[in-house]
Order: sequence, then C-alpha cells, then structure tokens
Amino acid sequence: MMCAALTRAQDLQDAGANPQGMADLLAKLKAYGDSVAKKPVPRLSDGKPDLSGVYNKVVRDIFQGAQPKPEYTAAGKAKWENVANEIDPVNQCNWPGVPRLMQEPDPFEIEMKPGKVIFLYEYMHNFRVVPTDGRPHPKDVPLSRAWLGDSVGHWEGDTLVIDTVGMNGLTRLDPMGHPKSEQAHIIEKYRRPRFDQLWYEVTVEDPKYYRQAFSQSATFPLTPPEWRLEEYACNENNQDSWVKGAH
Amino acid sequence: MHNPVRFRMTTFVQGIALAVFLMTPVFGHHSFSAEYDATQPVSLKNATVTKLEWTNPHTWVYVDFKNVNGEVEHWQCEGGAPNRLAREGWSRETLKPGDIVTIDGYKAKNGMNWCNSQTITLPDGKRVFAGSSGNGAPDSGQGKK
Repeated sequence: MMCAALTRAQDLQDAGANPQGMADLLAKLKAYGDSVAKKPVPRLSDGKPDLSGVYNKVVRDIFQGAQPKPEYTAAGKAKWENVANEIDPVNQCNWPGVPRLMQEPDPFEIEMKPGKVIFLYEYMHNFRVVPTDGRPHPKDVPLSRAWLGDSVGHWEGDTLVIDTVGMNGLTRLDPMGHPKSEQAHIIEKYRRPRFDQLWYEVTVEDPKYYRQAFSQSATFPLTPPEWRLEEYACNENNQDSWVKGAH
Repeated sequence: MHNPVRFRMTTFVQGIALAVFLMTPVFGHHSFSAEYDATQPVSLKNATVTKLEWTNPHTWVYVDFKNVNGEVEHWQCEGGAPNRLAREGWSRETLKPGDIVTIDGYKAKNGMNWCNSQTITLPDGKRVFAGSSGNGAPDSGQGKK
C-alpha cells in the first residue's frame, strides 16, 4: 500500500524547512507556558479548580497511546476498512461530534459558571453547555441533541467528569476515521494540574464497534491572554464536499 | 576555514532524518492524501499572484507561473483556514495580486494545476507556513495499515 511512501507534509517541514510562522507559534506557546507555570491554579467560590481559559490543541489519533489497546468488533473492523469509500462528514461541514471536537486542531475555551461549564470550540464554531449540578441524562435524549449528544457533568474531587450519550452514528471518533456508532458513550475527565496545563482523558465505550472501552489522555497548553477564538465558517468556500476517506 | 568533514556529517544526518520521515507511514489530516499527492512535490518559483481567496475552510492563492518553456500556467493552491494562518503571522495584507511568490507544496490528484501549499516565500523573502495542517505540534499517529 502507498502508505509507507507517503509522508505528512508537516513532518517534512519539521525535518528541514522550519518555516518561520510555525516555529514562532510553537516557541511562543512554550515560552508563555513556562512563564506562568508556577502561578497557583485559581479556585471557584465553591472550592473547585477553575478550568477557565483558552487552550490549544492539535490533530490527534484517538488510538495512539490508548489503553487498553482498542479492539474492533466485526462490525467495527468492517466500518474502518470502508472509511476510504465514505465521505468524511466534516468535509460537508457537518459537526465533528464528541470526542472528535477534542481530536481536531484549533483552540478551545472553557468558561465555568455556577452549575454549568461552557465549552467553546473554534473548530466548526461549536459549543457545549454542560450542566454540572449532578443531574442524570434524560430518559429519552431529544433528537435536537444528535451531533454533540446529551452531556452531563459532575465533580470527583478536583476532576470534572463529563458523560455524553445520544449522538447519531454519523460522525467519527477522530480525523483518522476511527468509527463511532449511535451507541457511543463518551466519558471525559478534565483536570488542571498546573496553571498552564489542562489534563484531559477520554474514554470511549461503543459496544457496536469496539470489544471493550478504551481511554486516551493528553495535556493541552494554556494560550497567552491575547489569544482569542476566531471564526471558522466552514460553508463559505468548501470545495471538499465530495472527498471520501480520512487521510 | 572550512570544516568539510563536519559539513558532510550534518548533511548526512539531515538526509537520514528526511529519509526516516519519508518512510514513516503518516497521517495527513483532513483528507490531504485523498486529494493531493505527496510523491509529486511542486515548487512554483517566482509566480505572480492573481487572486487571493481568504475563505473558510481553506484559503486559496491563485498564481500565474512561467514554466521552463516560458509558457504561463494558471495555478491555484490551497492553504489553511484564516484562523490558523492568522496565528502563523498572516494578515489580509500578506499577499496581494501582483506579488511575486514561490509556492512549495504538493500537486493535486485531480489532474489540474492545483496544489496544496506548504510554504510560501513572500516578496520580502520571508517564508510562511501555509499548509492546511493543524497548528501546534505535529500529530504523531501510526500508519492506517
């Protein structure tokens, strides 16, 4: 297969080209993080850690480093092997869903309010408002929560846990095309171990496509105060709507 | 005084690094390899910008490029979305029709003069990353198969 001969252009850049713009960006993020790393993590009035901030993220393969190693069911394997024949929903500017929103690049913002957490995603201009008052999922998740599902949150000590169900089967787990069904139950955990770091763990439970649940964790850097979420108006001049596959 | 041995070692190491990258199965993101051919790099040297589409989900730079035969070819090259390019130093003023640029990237698989631009060398000589890849650190996925 051609895979071995293909190389991601980004890797070529890092190998030798070191274009000015990308190198400057990475250096700025790291320098900022180092400069504020020792500041105490702020707390809300109820004592919980304040996760508020704008963080940066990059393209991530949800299988990479996942524990236990993800194993497909027969249906999952068939779906994965057919990815090249299916149009990626984001190529038609459809929303990436959960957890793919967190596996895509572009910054995201967390704002905490009493009883709820607001997530704002530059990618696809999405947002989630997640209640953190401990309420359960509704017995019947409304059809109006099909792309991002129904999310409810609660605290376990200093860890914010977000539970999501009820999504349609029209999205993928990540940019690589790993399959996701309407049975997907996604559990996310958020912590702020350091002023400039957001620790994140996602657990995927999807018995239609995977034999057992698996988890992946990552750390996202806090961005400097001058960063703000920009627009991403996907429909504006989309010329990829016919493109199949994932990569 | 030259140190020819050290120069050769550095070039050798860089060559190995490049070879390793070329052999590593990769992830393009957002259907790069469905549309573009990483085995067909292009370098449009001293091309004249005719139009700039500063749009989502990809920006497009249109250039007239004079090939080795002296014929003018019309090319359009895809770049990252405005949100990503803005963080990599681009502004609406970065490129204008009439600017002379060099675009380095990969040819499209559709048989037309389209490319996915990775870097663009601007009129002042500055090189900017123009690719559609996510900003931040490179993703480190395993090959699909």
